[in-house]
Amino acid sequence: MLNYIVRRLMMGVVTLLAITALVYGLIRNIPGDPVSAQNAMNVDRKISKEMEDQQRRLYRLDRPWPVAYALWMSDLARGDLGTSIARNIPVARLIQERVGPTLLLSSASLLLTYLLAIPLGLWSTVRAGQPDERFLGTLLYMLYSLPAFVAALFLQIVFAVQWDILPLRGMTGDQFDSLPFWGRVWDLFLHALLPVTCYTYGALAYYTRFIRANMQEVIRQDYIRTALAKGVSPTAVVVKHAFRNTLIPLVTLMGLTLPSLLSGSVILEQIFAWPGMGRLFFEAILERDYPTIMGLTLMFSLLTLAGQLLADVLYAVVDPRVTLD
Amino acid sequence: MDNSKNDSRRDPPSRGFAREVAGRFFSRKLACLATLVVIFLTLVAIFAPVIVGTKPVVCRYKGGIYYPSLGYLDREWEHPIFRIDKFRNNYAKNLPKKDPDSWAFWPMVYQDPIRRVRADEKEGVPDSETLQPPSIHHLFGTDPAGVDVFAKMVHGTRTALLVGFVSMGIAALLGIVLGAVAGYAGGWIDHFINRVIEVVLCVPTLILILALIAIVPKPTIWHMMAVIGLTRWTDIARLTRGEFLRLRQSDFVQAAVALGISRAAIIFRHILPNALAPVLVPITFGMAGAVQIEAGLSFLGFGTPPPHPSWGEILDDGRANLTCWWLVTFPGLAIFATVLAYNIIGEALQEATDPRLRDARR
Repeated sequence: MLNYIVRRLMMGVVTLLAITALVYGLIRNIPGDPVSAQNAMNVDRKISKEMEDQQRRLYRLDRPWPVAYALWMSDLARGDLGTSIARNIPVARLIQERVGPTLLLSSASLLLTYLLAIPLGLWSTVRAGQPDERFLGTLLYMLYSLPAFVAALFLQIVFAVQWDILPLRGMTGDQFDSLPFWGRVWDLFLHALLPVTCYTYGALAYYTRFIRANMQEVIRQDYIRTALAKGVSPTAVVVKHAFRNTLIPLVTLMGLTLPSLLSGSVILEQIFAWPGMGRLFFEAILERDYPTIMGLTLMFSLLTLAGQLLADVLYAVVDPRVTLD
Repeated sequence: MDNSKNDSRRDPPSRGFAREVAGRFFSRKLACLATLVVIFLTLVAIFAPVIVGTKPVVCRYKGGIYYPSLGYLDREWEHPIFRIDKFRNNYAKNLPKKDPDSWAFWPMVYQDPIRRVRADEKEGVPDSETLQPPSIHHLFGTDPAGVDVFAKMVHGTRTALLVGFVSMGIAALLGIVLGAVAGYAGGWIDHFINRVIEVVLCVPTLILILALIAIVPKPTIWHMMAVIGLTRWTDIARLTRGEFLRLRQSDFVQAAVALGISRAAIIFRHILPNALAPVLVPITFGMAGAVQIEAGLSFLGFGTPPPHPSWGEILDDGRANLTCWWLVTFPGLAIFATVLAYNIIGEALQEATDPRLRDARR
């Protein structure tokens, strides 16, 4: 096992190198650079050609990209992610600032998903084929096919524009700072309600169907029939005997959701003006903020690779039949 | 349950795998319905210029018969005579003016997906104002520029469907070839292709798409489809690889090797046809994904270049004008219906090709 993990980690380093080099090369080839992007934004305050060149030298834009990439790597090896060009603060601090709001949405959504999907999945297994189960199944299937950004717009129209009971966008209201503690929590809750709904419903539909599909396979096993024949109560059979054995694929799925916990959704955060990672990423692309793009890419790929490794290792941990080699 | 009865009936003429899968697929009502939806959308996409437009489907002008509405499909297909005679896309007014003997057969609805229609163009068609709610004149309302949303929707169907088919066609080609090679060759080739898949999975799609589009000097809708295809082949490759790993051990492949058949022939003529049916599953799901990606990109402002109306673009207008529900409802429902249809087809294929799932259903 340890042997396997070490080998995977070493391969992971090579993959990371390939990814970062590829992204660095790609972003340097997108037309425009941070300096021109910045100048385009403040039209009234044109800076001179010399200043521009000086800035370009400072950000290593005058060097060919492989050289700049090598320099970025050497900074990284010293634990320095660089400084955001558009915002002039260290990338590490920028990510730190933005990770909170995203984590708030994604953890709330993950929690909700599991809290709802497990009971719903078990209920669907027990009621399989009944009219109410088929109705729920169809509903979940339709939700699964509804793109989140379409749902987000519908929800905004109904709840924020027509009924005007929930805030349209943003994470906090105008008078947030003057509110008492519980007032702030309530304000945050109201603002998070629509985004969390949009984050959750798709995953909820997916997980419920996933659990149901796995349960359907397990309850056909002989040991389930044996347990029922021995007089174990149906609830105990479903929860203790069957569900426990469907946990294995669920665990691997958790490993694979790891990166999405921190990466956020570009479109949803953009629609709800949520100051999270997805929005930061989108803004960084528009601003051609190379250090920020690289920092985020590094983080996402690290998490994706770690999630895959975690899923494989967890699989072997929870299922003794699986051996890693 | 009653396998014995079925077996005795099915035994003598053994159908091929593909026929059997098709039979099982079409025995499901929902799958048939979803297929009909896709066929309907395809028809809308093909006949969009006949359904709605401001260019005549057929017209007679200065002694010749022309089909100006083809210009909606490709600008090059519009006869140059109309450019030379300075029609400026206003056929309704210019046709009778420049040639009194001309006649024209018009699309069913006189509205344009690109520009707003003016009052004096055609009898019975009023000046289209900006942000009008749905009415007799504008079935789905108008957008902030006064363009008819129904016309945009109908012509946007082409974009939505093409994106699904073309990008997944590219993805399928890449995925199947790489997956097949990885699965059959094994060893370091398999290892290398797996690493490539990992890299593509980790690079943010938005970066890849922006950068690849930026490299092209004049990006068109085709470039975008190619780029979406280049980012979406990993699932297909993984599944093909798995199928090849499984089939490589089977007797008929051993027999082919023993007969001295070349590697390429074994991979593409003997194993691939047997692996293809399950591979259709991620392709269909990928088509649903591609439709969403295109809409999402247009929504973020990185969509198809201007002359191609797209559903995501209308949604983007809707986001800026949330009080105009028609700008969100119609494209939203269209995207939803398309994705749902693809997903249902994908699922039905999955159940039809996977013997475990098939048996579990009964």
